Amino acid sequence: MTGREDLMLGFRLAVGGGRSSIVRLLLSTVGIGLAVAILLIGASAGTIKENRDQRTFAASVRSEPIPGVAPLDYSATTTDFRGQAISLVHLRATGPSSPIPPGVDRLPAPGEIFLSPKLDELVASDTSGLLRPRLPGKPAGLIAAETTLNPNDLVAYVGTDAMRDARTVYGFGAEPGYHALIENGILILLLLGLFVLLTPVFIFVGTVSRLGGAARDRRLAALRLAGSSLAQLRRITAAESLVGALAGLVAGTTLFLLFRGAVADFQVFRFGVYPKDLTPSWPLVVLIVLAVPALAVATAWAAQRHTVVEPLGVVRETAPPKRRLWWRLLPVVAGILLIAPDLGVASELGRWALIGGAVLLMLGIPALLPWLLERVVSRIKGGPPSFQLAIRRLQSDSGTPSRVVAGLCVVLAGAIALQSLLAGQAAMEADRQDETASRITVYADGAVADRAIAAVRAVPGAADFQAMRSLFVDAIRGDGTLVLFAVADCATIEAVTTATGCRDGDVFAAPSFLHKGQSVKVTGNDKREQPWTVPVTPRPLEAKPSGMAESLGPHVLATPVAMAGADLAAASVAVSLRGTTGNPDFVELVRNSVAPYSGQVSVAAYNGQRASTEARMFGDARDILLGGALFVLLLAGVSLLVLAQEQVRERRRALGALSATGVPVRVIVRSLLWQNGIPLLLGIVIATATGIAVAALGKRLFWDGLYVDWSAVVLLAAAAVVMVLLVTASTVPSVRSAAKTENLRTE
Amino acid sequence: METPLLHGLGLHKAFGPNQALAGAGLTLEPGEIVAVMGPSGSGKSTLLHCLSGIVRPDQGQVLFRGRDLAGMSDAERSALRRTEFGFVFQFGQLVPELTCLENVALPLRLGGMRRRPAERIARGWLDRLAVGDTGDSTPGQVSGGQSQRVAMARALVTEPSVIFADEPTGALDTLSGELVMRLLSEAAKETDAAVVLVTHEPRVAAYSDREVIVRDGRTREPVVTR
Amino acid sequence: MSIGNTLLGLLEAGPKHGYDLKQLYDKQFRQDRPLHYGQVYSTLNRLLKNGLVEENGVEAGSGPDRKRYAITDAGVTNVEEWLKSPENPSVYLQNTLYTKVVLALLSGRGAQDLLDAQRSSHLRAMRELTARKTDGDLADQLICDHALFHLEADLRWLELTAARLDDLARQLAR
Repeated sequence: MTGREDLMLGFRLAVGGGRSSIVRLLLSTVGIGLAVAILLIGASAGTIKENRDQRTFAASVRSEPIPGVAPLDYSATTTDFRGQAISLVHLRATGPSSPIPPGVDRLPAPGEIFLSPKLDELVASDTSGLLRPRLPGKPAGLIAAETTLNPNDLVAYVGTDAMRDARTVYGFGAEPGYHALIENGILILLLLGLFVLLTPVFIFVGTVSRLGGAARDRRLAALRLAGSSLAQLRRITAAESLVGALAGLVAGTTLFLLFRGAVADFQVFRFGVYPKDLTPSWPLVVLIVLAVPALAVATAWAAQRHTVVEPLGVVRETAPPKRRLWWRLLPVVAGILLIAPDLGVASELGRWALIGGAVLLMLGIPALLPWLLERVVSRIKGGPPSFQLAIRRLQSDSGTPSRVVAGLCVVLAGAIALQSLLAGQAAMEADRQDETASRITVYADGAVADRAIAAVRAVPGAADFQAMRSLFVDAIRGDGTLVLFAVADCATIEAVTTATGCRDGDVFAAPSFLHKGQSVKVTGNDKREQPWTVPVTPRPLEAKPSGMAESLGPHVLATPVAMAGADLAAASVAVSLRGTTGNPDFVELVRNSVAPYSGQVSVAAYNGQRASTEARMFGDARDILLGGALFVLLLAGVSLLVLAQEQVRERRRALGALSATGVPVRVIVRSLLWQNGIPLLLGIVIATATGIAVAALGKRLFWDGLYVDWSAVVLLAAAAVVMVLLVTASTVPSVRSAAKTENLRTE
Repeated sequence: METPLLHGLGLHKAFGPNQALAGAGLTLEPGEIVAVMGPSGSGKSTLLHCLSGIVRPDQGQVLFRGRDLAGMSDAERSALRRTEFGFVFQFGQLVPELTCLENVALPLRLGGMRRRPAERIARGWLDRLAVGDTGDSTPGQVSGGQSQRVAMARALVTEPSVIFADEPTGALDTLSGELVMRLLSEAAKETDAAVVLVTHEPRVAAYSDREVIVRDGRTREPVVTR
Repeated sequence: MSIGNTLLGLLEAGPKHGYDLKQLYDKQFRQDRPLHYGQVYSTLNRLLKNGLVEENGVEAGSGPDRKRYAITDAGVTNVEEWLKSPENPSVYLQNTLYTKVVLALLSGRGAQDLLDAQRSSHLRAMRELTARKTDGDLADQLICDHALFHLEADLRWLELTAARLDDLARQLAR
């Protein structure tokens, strides 16, 4: 007998079979397609990391002198426009051989500026005209595409003469001094997220493959009767599942390519990906192409393992083997074993152990749930008729609903975990923000301080100024530590400390720190020291909460008169002000006012209304995650729906008999509700526990303290419940029609 | 005496607590039609399943052309079902997803024949059984009588030595049943196939050459009187 | 229908007076139309002449109703043969079949053998009819179908009756 004929037969059976087998083929193509697309994205992780490292490398600077190369003065600052971070790289060449940064073919001359493509777009689209002044210089060209680390990065190379904190740079292309921890953390989260997406997709595919089970059993029995041997049967079922697998491969690759084209528009945190980054590594692609069909076939064969297909029909083992507990605990145990020893996040091993452990923990859900469900359900007796019906049904076959619910719950757990991790990060950010609410602080270097302050004061609506000039003083601890020494006028001092009745000439400090007549050395930013004698007895210094004194934390506050004779030119200045016009772009006006000095002035706005960039991005990420989780919930919902409809169809006759004996339709529907609801309830409990456990990883990964985003937990759990309700509700018409006693008529 | 075509002896088979066969047996000569009769639950269908190798008896022997079925591998028994045996059941024997023509051609294709010649032979049998126009429909789209004749065509397509028919007219109305039985006996005579015909209806059994009674798992050959 | 065989069957259980025999017969088989005394006695005389029954004591007072009759060995053999041999399949032979079944059960024999024998005989007839039907024209088919259906009805009824009475006998035996 030719194997080829058997395969052809299998193909024929897979596609010809009327509506139900077409539906099944479609659904499994979708499911496998999704899985393939996700796998391809995951397989690109290596390329993503490599390319990003490469871009980072290309942009990092070399500070050791290279003979024959004129040094380049280099200073990178950031500014903020309506919540988006713009990176300004100030450059000044000292000679014709000065190194050129990546993405341009020459250095910007003073007064010139090169923009990254996204920044250029932003400028062009900005109707308020507030952005342009922020970018000092005449636009001389664009930075080449795909140079910036992320596609949406806003970067400008500014040619300038005046710089502060300039570094001397001899080349571009060096190992960055550190690998940003956040970068690795993001990769971990990404992979975790992919896995969370993958599990329900797998379960969806598994569910779909069970569709039309009764019809398939009959078909297989008929084939056996017609004389096919068991080996032939295996080939035929293999071919059937191959059709879906191959279609899924094609669909998945197409989906991946589509996603690749559009990926440049997405950005999570600051993490963005260029299309060319999404290139899966070839060995992995080959693996996927081989593994997906192989897995499809293996699954189809495995599903038959408890059945014996005989010509008389498919015989299921009379009682399915009792579920064993021990192997179900393995993933959880293995996960804990991987996580418990704190290998740290810095090492490759540590990272993979963490990811592996989290993945295994979540794998524990689909492993444990069927067993748990079986145990719980077997002990329940009694209850109202609808409940009884459901329990009995679950007792006889708890496998299928528990599998689907398990998929749902992995998503829940993953979403809860990730949400909690993100919430933790966001909370940290929020802590840092809670200062100087709704005030804007402008920091200027000593050289431009006066001009910057004058510019800021000129901004319409600016009011309520507090200004401090900063110097450093020896902490008198003997180890050379310097602490902040601030000079401010009385108005400021009274605004930011609890002091009253300030007179010009006062000095404020902790009494134990300074005493009258003490001689100290005061240092400026230029590292020049000046001697200074404490002229008067210092008054106690007590900063008001959320004031500039608290945020800057000077140990000494002196009035200008007390500093008479000292040279404050090199002292940097911090000016805090408030906008009174109610203009939401006030901060942009302030930034623009000091834009000419952008290399030496920075503006910090902690605005309660507008969260800082980081926090907002975390918020965005959480939304994306929530969206993703809901999408996957939808997927699981479709599985449940398909399963429920199938079930109603298969039990048509039984339902007809039930209703003929007088059981009202609403009782049947309620029993369906219980049937889906009980596994779901169990699953939610397990999922929440697992999600919180994985979130506890957050302690290890980033910070201390366990944040649980309860609102997300409740939201996702509620979404799952709603979905089960919806699915059950949508089967009501089918149940109604099945319960018509006409179904008892034999054909 | 030459060996009988099919010989079942001392067959015992239990399904759980239910003893379906308790020492049943049957001998079949080439070309003869034997009716297996008895009340429901008597074990007639189980006897048929044991004789055709679909079910393995707990005790006893089934010899086909002298070879013991129990000694055959699954592949050999499947081959037997493809080539030497044909089956006509009451229902549930055709593959719903394939057309009638493909169903009839199935045993031939499973045996390795290419599609075109197999379907040619199949079409011939469909015509002979007066269901030639059902070729492109699926079993679900044709009437009960037609689908039984399609099933018969499938049973006959490999020109088997034995046709096993289990209540072939059970789900049919009287006229369709008559037609099916007439065609079955004619085709069997034509191809010189022996038939094991399980039925509880005397009028169906009237198409046989002799009958065997099954009661409580045992068989009785007919009482020869006068 | 053979009354003689039936009376013999009833006598098999034990000797009876003519009068009692008639009552028994009527009760079992002829509830609506009792047997005529004359018929009973003339049959008994015939049986006597053929040696299938013998007289078994006489009560005081003459008259045929006071005689007691008993079955002979020849009579027993006769009954056995009669019960064992199937009736010729004909239309409307259920009276005889019924009688046979009752007698078989009354005498402790099961009805299965009877049933099997009758079925074989019926099937033989049905086979002939079927063969004729297959080769014949429409008229033949109609006639044969008619006969076939009736024969089948007999068999079915026979099966059901045997089953019912068997069941009853089993219950009584407990």
